[in-house]
Amino acid sequence: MAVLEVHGLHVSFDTYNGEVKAVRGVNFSLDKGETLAIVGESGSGKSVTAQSIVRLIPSPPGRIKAGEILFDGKDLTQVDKKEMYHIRGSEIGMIFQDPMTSLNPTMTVGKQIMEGLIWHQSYGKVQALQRAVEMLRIVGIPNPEKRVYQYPHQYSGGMRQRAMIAIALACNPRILIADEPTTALDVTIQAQILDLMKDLQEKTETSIILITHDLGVVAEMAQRVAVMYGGTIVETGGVEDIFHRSRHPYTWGLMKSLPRMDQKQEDELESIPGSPPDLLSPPQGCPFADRCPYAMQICHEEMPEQTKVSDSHQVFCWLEHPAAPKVNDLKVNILSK
Amino acid sequence: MGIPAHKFQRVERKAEQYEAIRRPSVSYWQDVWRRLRSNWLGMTGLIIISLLVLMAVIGPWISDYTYYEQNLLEEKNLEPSSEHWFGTDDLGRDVFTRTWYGARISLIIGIAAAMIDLFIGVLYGGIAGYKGGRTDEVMMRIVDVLWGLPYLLVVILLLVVLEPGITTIIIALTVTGWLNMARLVRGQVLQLKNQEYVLAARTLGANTKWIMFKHLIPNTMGPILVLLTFSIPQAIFAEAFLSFLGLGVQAPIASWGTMVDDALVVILSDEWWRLFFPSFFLGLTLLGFNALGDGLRDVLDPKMRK
Amino acid sequence: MLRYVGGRLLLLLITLWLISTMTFVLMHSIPGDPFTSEKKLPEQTLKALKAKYNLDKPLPQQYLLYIKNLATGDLGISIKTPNRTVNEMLEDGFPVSARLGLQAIVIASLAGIVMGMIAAVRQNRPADMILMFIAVLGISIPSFVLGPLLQKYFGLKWELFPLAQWGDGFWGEFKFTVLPSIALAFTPLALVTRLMRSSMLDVLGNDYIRTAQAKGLPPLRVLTRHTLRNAIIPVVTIMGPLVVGILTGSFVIEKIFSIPGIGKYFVESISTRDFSVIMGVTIFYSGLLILMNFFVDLVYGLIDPRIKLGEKEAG
Ligand SMILES: Nc1ncnc2c1ncn2[C@@H]1O[C@H](COP(=O)(O)OP(=O)(O)OP(=O)(O)O)[C@@H](O)[C@H]1O
Ligand SMILES: [Mg+2]
Repeated sequence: MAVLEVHGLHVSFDTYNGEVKAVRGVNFSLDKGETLAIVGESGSGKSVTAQSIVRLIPSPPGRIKAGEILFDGKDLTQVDKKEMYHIRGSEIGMIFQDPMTSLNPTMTVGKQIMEGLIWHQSYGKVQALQRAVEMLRIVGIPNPEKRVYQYPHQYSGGMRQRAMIAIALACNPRILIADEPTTALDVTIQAQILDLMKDLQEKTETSIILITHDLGVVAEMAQRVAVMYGGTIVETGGVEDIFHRSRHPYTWGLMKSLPRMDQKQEDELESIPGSPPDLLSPPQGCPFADRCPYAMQICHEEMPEQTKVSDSHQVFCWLEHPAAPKVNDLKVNILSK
Repeated sequence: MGIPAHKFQRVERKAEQYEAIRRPSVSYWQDVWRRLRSNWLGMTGLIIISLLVLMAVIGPWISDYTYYEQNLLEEKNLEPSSEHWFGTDDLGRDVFTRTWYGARISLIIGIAAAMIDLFIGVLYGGIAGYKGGRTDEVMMRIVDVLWGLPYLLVVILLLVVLEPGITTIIIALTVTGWLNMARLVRGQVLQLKNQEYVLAARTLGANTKWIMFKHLIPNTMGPILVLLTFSIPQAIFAEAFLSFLGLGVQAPIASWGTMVDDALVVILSDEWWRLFFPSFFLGLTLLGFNALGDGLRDVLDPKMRK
Repeated sequence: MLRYVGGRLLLLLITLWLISTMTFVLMHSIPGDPFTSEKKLPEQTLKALKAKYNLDKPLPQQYLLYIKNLATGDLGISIKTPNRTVNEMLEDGFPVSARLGLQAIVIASLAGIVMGMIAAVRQNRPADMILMFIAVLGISIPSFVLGPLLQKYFGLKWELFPLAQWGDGFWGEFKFTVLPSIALAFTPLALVTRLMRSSMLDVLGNDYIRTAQAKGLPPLRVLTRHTLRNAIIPVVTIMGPLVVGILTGSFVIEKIFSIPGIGKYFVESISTRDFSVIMGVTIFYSGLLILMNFFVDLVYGLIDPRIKLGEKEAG
């Protein structure tokens, strides 16, 4: 059963240079207790998608142009501000990328956790403080009775991200949106934070939308994956589908850029040549066509339609079209050149 | 389905072509100028300043009068007219000529003071930042102590004692005026000192001075230019303020400050032009430089640079 | 903390000593003595006068005497009106000047913070443009131009406020102080408004504001609890320069409005070259300002928990 469904989401930013079409028709759904990973390279619209869900895109210049975001049967693009304030924080929590800048430097960590509780659940001060200490303990901060009274600069980076998680989860939200929660942290701490999120998820049955560049993180955390490129989702599927049976050339590119255990030292990671499309005037065809080694004329002209590979696995690519040549033949062709 | 088969032919990817289209490389200053031109605030300031400079140069020259020529009998307190465009003052002097002569004084003092500040500040701050360590500490302690001195009070004190005149004012203004610049330059130099290209130049055996001039100074130009632009109106204001107090340039030389001071009688009478013209152009000058400074800051702010 | 305060106090004393010495050296570097310009005085009187001001003693001794007097808070006697001590003048003038200055500081900082806040929240909208226009005027119109204008229109023409008198009691005086306070506050007000605006915009672009919004706090709460406090910090740092500006501005304002404050005495003493008064006022004001800056630093440390007084800033 889906807690969240996004249909045909379009988000644009009105800038001096024109309309930046950052998200162009995104669809996905999120089930209870599930982790959905959104992957894709920088600028593909992952954060904008996530922030649109709770209407946090800076506006102006940003606006949701079209689409539905169904949460509990309510369309979040339509609900009034008051209701949105209620949903943010208490129903949908968020964690951001940079723990160093995401906490208010002049307010104690405790107060920053208590704030949401007092606002959403009309906790009293004492009660809220107790809950804040408890949250800090849950996220694994030692000596929480003392730490609640400290300021963010007295925390280390990993501890700050734990504090962010405590803030996001304090009100027991049903959905947690984590926008690159570990990108700014070093590897050992990354693993700890991910473990923590997984742990908490199992206990509370929270659904998670996890945004990341890191396919290793995806493999460890997610059940389903949405691959974004140029403001659209180009492929979605279960982790298995994406890692082992992916059908989209961009996803193949992503996989090749993933370091593997069996890889020899001297093999360099492959990166996909070229740069992402200009979202000011996005191509009318497939956004990846310019960089796609298999691009056909149609790819430059028309947006591919959705192809259902299986119930859980969908892809948007012209190669799926019955008239298209088989990829294996193409591969041979390119290699023999 | 109705898609013709040829559409499924593979086409060469365009990425290779894309790589070729790079922004044309432009020099730093060209880039600054290009961006300044599209910054309306900065351009407004620049245009105002250019016009003021132009008038300061030709204003006194195109008028038929001199700034000191009095005509007590016939031309006292005349309204603006085709004869006297900005009217005359209580000594029958032409306000138009005096206003633009005052502009000269203001601009000379403002720019000279700012330049001297720049020179001392860059030298002092540059040495402190570059040498670092003990030298830096001592030099900056001195700056800290001087920093505590109230700027205008020190200037007043100096002017009370020294022979009045334009040079004196410039000297007095620069005695503590360079501190800001020194602090800024030192901070910048410290920051840049450890950057890769400087380290690289050093390991290649380039000598100290060469590194300083080739790399550090040009790279600190942005913030310095902004501060310079802001310190000019500060000096212009200070001169007007001091002249208003009777400590600036001496009669009969016209300065906006003394003209405003002389015009205080208009509080009781109606010779508005005597107060209006010097005040208006003083205000416009301050506005022009501040606008240019704001514009430059927007343009040079590395955070905004793409 | 204690060490820091101690260090700062030491720096404060050094600066104070420096300015005192500087004044002394400058005042004694003028050729002749303060009485040379005077009408020919009888030899006898001149000698008596010099003795009275210690001018007959050798310079080093004069200097020591001067520093000793300063240390005990004695600023000497006016040269031109010998029956008045500088301390008396300051005692007379200070309450008046302080009141004017305080009113101006309150106007400039409170109104400036509010105006800057509104401008930032309404960025690029009409309210912002109007406020920024006012701020531009404030930076372009010096107090010695605004003063006469206010006097002419609000005082004489429309008779909204009385001029050129100084009444009794707090409220009795209040109406006389309105115009000079405004004239004095205008430029600082503009500076605070601009700084507050840019500082607010800075803070509003910060990630932690987004965090606060993501918690579901309504805009007003985000503003009061997260934005304001952080935005005010840079404003506190310019309080020092602001007070300097208002103090020196009071010289011209008191002259224009004929207000019997320290500034008026100071300007008069400049034109009559009454050196002991000039020295006294300079040192008094310098001391005040240096002390002000010291307190501003302490306050700064209090409102920004990241700043640990006494520790070298890290990173
Ligand atoms: N405030 C804004 N104004 C204009 N354009 C914006 C704004 N915010 C985002 N964009 C544009 O939207 C596009 C998508 O941005 P988004 O932040 O979602 O990327 P992302 O996939 O999260 O990348 P990253 O991995 O770097 O975080 C980008 O091209 C960006 O330029
Ligand atoms: Mg992002």
